[in-house]
This record gives sequence, structure tokens and C-alpha cells, in this order.
Amino acid sequence: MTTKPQLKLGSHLVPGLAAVGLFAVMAAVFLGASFPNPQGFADGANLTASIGYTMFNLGFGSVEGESMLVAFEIIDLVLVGALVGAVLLARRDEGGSMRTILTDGGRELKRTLFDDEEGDR
Amino acid sequence: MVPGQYYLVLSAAVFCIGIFGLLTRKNALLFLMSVELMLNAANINLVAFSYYWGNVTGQTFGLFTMALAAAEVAVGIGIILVLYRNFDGVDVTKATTMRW
Amino acid sequence: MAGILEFAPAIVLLPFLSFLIALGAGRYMPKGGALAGIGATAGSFALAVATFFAVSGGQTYNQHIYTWATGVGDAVTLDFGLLIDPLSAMMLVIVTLIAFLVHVFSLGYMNDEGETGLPRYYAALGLFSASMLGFVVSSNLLMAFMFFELVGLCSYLLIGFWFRQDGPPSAAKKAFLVTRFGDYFFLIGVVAVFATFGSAAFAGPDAFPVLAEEALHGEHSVNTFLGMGEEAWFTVVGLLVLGGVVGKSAQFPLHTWLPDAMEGPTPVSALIHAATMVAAGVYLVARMYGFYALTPTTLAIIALIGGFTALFAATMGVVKKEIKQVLAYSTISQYGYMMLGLGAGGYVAATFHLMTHAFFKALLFLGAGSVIIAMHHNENMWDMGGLKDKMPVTYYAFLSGSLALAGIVPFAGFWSKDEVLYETLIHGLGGSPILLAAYAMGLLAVFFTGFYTFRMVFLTFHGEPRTETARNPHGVRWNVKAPLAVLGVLAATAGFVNMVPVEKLLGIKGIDFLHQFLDGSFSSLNAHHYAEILPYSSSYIGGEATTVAIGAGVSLGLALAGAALAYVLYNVPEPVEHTEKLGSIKTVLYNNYYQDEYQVWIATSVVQPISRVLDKFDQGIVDGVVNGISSVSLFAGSRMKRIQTGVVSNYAALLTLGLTALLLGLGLIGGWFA
Repeated sequence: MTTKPQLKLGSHLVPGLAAVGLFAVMAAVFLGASFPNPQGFADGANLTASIGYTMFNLGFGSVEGESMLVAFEIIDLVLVGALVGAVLLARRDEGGSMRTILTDGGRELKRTLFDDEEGDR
Repeated sequence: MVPGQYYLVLSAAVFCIGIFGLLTRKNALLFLMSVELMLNAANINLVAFSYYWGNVTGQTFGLFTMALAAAEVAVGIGIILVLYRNFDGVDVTKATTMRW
Repeated sequence: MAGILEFAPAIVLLPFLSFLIALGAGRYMPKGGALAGIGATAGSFALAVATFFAVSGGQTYNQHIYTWATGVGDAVTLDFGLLIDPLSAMMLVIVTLIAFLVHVFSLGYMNDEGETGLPRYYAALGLFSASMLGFVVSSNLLMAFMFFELVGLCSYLLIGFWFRQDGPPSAAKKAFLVTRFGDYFFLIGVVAVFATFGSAAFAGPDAFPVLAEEALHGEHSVNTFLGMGEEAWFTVVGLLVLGGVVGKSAQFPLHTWLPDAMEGPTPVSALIHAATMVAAGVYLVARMYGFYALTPTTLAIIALIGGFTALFAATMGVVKKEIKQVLAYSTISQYGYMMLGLGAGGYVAATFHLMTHAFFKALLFLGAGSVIIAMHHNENMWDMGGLKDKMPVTYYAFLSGSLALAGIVPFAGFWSKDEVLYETLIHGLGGSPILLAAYAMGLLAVFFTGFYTFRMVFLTFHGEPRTETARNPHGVRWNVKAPLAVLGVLAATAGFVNMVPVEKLLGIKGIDFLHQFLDGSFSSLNAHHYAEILPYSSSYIGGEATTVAIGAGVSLGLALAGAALAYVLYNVPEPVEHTEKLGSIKTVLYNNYYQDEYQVWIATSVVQPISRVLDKFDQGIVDGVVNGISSVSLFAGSRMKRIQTGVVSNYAALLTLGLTALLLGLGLIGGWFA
């Protein structure tokens, strides 16, 4: 059985007021600013093709754009790195307990070695 | 013709919703979603200004941002997995071992 | 002999080399490094003699060696250089000769007595000689100051040589601190000279005495300070430098370190008193005499200090029991004469006395060292007596030195002391009552000198032996006797190089060799030039020859009277102490006029409270502010770190609030909310 999502109100929403405040400030700033008319794109311009050309540093597009070849290659590397990193992080180690000790700031180790219950204070 | 400010206000709204999520939620997965919202708020700006200047650079950047978001999510999910393993759950407020 | 002056740096470097050798390898060498020192000083002596003859032949040497710091724009340039003129050449011979003899004597005094720590001793001795030689050949005031300080350091090391006993370390510290007090003024004086003239060279185109002279004639402008006129300011600068001289040459009131310095080994005392440390002060005045001669006030002060010190120290020497103490006070007194001579315009006379004194005082100290060896390191004269027959070489050498010290014709001291007094007298008669007062004090001191010198001789060598040790003294070897013999001959004959009274009385021209020698120099550094710029005029009692005769007769008569009194009182088989007859004066003299007491009083009652207040200020305010800042930071840090909760949401909230505040701030300033 599914339940209807319910809005849970309470004091945990108080920090959200900061986000609301930020929005208020930003909105006030943006609405107070004035912009000249946008240049826009010419009628019939093929935006998708232009994006493709600009991404590979080819000058065939009807809309101009900066060369993005280097950025493209860097993104390639970043994606590969992220993939490898994600796999590394997600892999379950054989000696899992050791990792636990290392990522808790040494508290587990201290507790075992010195039998010190005050360890994480 | 939509005035330029409206795009910005929209972007700000999406960004602040993301921040709201960050501030009020404890679940790491929801954190990740909120961060996605914030990234896409930036994308809205990029596309809006691309139109504004009549130049496709901004839109191309938007594409790159999405690719980066994918990378970020991959790493983020990995971190959440480690978090789950070490702190028995995905509650970010429990992982406080790096405080003073 | 052409080019021998090119080797002048070696005179300084050889003893320095022996310092390095004794320090590094002395412990593996026979005699603890003594041979290196003897060889080095002998080499230096040979070179110094060669230099001396080259200078006699009219050569001079003023060579720039090394630029230490190059001045940019108007800033001064600091140089090291070598200045060899008759004065420094003469001093080089004296210092190297005495250093050599002291090294030889040390073989007998230190090695034969089985002292430990000999490499340290010979290293310090080598460095001492090297620094004094460096001081002598310095071409500018700053370099002189640096070597001056090195000399002070070495004297500290050597006086405190027996650092395991109680006395020497404290005496060494006292010598160091008291001379340092004077050197403090000297340092300010060096800076003042640089600030005034932009150069501190003694000779050459920008020599500061020459610049000062031109400034007084209005041919050259210099910087003066405190709104003073040029002459007044030069007086101040001269007095500042004089502070260092008074400290080093143990003049009143900074003489108190010297008697205590007797705690050091006796050969060191000989070196300190005859050729190095104490001589450095007087030599400095002679070195920059062209500057002092320009300011009559400074000259008068120098003369007065000198005359007073001569008398003052001589009276204290009268009651002392230890042989070295008597010699210490005689040193202070004799350097007083040199200062008197310089202050009275007797540049050659004072230099002459510096030379003769170096010989006879080194002789007396080495003789005392020989006696001390014989007496198994007992220095009390009342335990001696009758040593004349047991150690004839020492006795006759010592007697020669004593006759020179007392100023009995024809020994060296007579000629030089007489010339000092003569110059004072004629310049005093020429219209300077201060010089006459100083002359009177100097003359009175002659009597005391004769008395205490022969009291010392009679108590030590004459009469019956008063203790078992004196009956069977420890013998001394050639290495003690040879230096004594050399110096004994010199003390008897060194005066003949400058027999001005004979010249004046008998009219024989050309036997004032030292006058001629010191005249053959740079035109701004010779005796002739000094005589021209001196502010004194001469006057005579019925003609020059009569004045010479009267002066010499009076001082000789007083010296003989003092000696005769000592003869009557102490040249008996069983002498007794006569000091009781002096009554309360005896107590004052025994306590050295309470000089130490009043200086300690100044230190404890005046300086200490001020220091305490300053310490309070330092501890309370300066340190308080620093400590306060640190504790505030620590406290704030301990509170601020609570922000680091480790909860990501809190960080995000802070970031958001921060961004909002930043936007608000920038917007308000930039007018975005218009």
C-alpha cells in the first residue's frame, strides 16, 4: 500500500530559512537589475549542429561559439577518473574492519587498545 | 519575449530549493539530489546567457556541466556507500568524526 | 729592503696562525702548542724589525685591504686597511718582542710548573698578540675598535685562565665589564666620527683628523649635532672615544679592573700591562692625536686624568703586600704619565714613555713571575726577602727594571718620564694652570713611585729570608732567565734613543732619534705637524737649558728621595711594616680609596633600582601585552573551534548565511537595491 507523501513540518526546517533568505536577497538583486535586449539567435539557425561543431573546434556552425576541444578532452579524463574513483570507493574490502578503524579518526582503535570509553568525546 | 531577469530569478529559485534541501534533510541521497538541483540552476543561467549573447558557448558549457554532474554523482554514490558501510546508515549528521 | 712592507699583514697573521694551531692541534704537540706561538711571534718580530728599518728609511704604507661594506649614495664605506707609519712600526716591534719573550717565559712559568690546559693558554696568547697587532696597524677607527674589542676578549680569556678557582673568573668578568663600560662610549664615538666626517680613516686623503682641522679653519664643512659648534662637537666626540681609552688604559675612574686582573698567569699580566691591552688605550690617543690636538678642552681633561691617575695609583701602590699588586698600581700610575704627556702636548714624550714602559714593565712582571716560581706561587712580599743571592739574574734584571720605573738616571724610565714632565711644565708655564696642576700631581707621584718601587725591591730581594720557601727557593731555568736578561738590558738602555735633556744641556744636536723617527711620516701624522696644531705655547724658567735642568733635577731628586726613604725603612735585615704610622690613611689606601665600594654602590643603589623598574616595565607591559594577545587568541580559538561540529548541514548553513551576508553587503555598497 502506498501512502500519500506528507509534508513534515517542524523545527528541522528552521535552517531552511537561510535558503529562503538567500533567495529573497538574490531575487531582490536580480529584479532590481536592468538588462538590454538579448541578441537572440537568427531564425532558422541550427543550434544543435552549431554546438556539435563548436565542441570539436570546427567552424561550420551558423552560430558562433568558442572552441571547446580541450574542455571536451578534460571532461573525458574527469569522467574516467570519476568512474574509477566510484568503483574504488564502492568496492567492499576483504579486511573491512581495518577501514572502519581508519575512517573513524582512530576512535575504534583507541577503544580497543586502551579500553577507553571516553574515546569519542 | 521573457525578460532576462526572470531566467535569473528562476535559476535562483532552483538553487535555493537545492540549498533548502541540503539544510533540512539528513539523508545523503537527498543531499545528492539537492546538489543536482543546484548544478542545474547554474545550467539555467548558462543557457539563458547563451541566448542573451547569441552565442552557443553557454549551451556547450551546459552540456559539459551535465557530464560533470554525472561524474559527481558517480563519486557521490561511492561516498554514500562508504558512509553506509562505516556509520551504519546514510544519515549525514552521524558522520561527525572530523569535528574539532 | 724594498717591498718589505708588503709583508706587513703577515705580522698580524702569524700569531693568528699560532692561535689556530694551538687551538686545533695544541694537544697533540709537545709543550702544548708553545712552540708554534714562539715560532710565530719570532717570525712576527723579525718582520716587525724589518718593517721598522724600512720605515726609518722613510717608507710608509697605507694600504686598503678589504671593503667590508660599500656605502650607497651618502652612506659611509667601511674598510679594512693597514697603516704603517713610524708610530705603528715602533709599536709593532714592541708588541712582537714582548709577545715573543712572554711566550718563551711561559715555557718556564706554565709548562715547567705542570699547568694543564696549555693549548687553551697558548691559543689565547696567540690571539691576544694577533689582535693587538691588528689594532696597531688599523687604518681606521672602526677597524681599531674591532681589534680593541678582541683584545678585551682575549684579556678576559687569559685573566680567567684558572677558571676553576674562585678569584680568576670573577676578575676576568670585572675586567671585561669595566672595560666594556668604557668601550660603550668608544662605540658611540666611532659612530659619531662616521656621522661627522663620513670617514674614520687615520691617514690618507679623507683622514678625519685632517678633515677636522680643515673644518675648524672653515675650509671644509662637517655635520655637527645637538646644535653645537664644530669645536664643541669635536670635544664631545673626542671625549666619547676617550671613554674607551680610560677603560682600557685603566685610568681613573675605570682603573678598578686592573689590580684584580693580577689573578691571571703572570706572563699574561706582563703582556697585558706592557704591550697589549693597557697600551691599546694610550696608543689609540697617540694614533688619532691629530684630532685630539685640535680641542684644548679634551687635551686638558686627558692631562688632568693622567696626572691624577699617576698620583692616585702611586699612593695605593705604597701599601700593597703582593708583589704583583704593587706592579699593577705602578702600571696604572705609569699609564697616567703617558696620558699626562699626551694631554700636555708631549706626543713624542708619551710615545717614548709607552716604549720604555713596555720594556721595563714587562721586565718587572716577568721578574715577579720568576720570583713567584721561586716562591712556589706565594706572592706576598712579606714572605720573601734575601732572594738577591739565590737568584742573581732575576735580581739584577729586576733592579734594572726598578731603576727604570723609579726614573733614576740613566735608566730608560728616567728619560721618558722626565720628558713627559718637562713638556707638561713648559706648556703649563706657557699659560695653562691646569697643566701646572697636573704637573704637580705627576711630580708628587714620582716620589711615591720611587718609594714603592724600592720598597718592593728591598722587601723581595734584600734582608734576611723571612720564610722557609725564601730560604730554599725553587730554581728557574734558561727560559725564564733569557727574557729577563734581554729586557734587563733594554730597560737600562732604551732611554738612550731620545736623550733630549742631554741635547738641550750640552747642545749636542741630533741625538733625539725618536723625535726624528716619529717625524718621518705622513705629513698629517708626524710629530712636527702635531706640534703646529697644538693649542699650547711654551715658556721657560730662565732659558730652555735651565728649565730642562730644573725639571730633570727635581724629578730625579724626588725619585731618589722616595728610594732613599724606602732604603731607610726597608733595607734592613728584618724589615717591619710601617703602614701603621699612616693611621686612618692606611685603611683608605688598603681599600683603594673605596673605589670598588663606590662603584658597587652605584651599581646596587642607582643602577639596580632603575633596572628593576625597567624590568617591571618589560615583564609587565611588554611581555604582558604579548602574553595577553596569546591568551586572548587561545581562549578565542578554544571557543571558535566549537563551530567545527562535523555535521555537514551546519557547514552548509554557515556557507549559505555567509553568502547571503556577502551579497547583502556588496549590494548595499554597490547600490544593487536601488
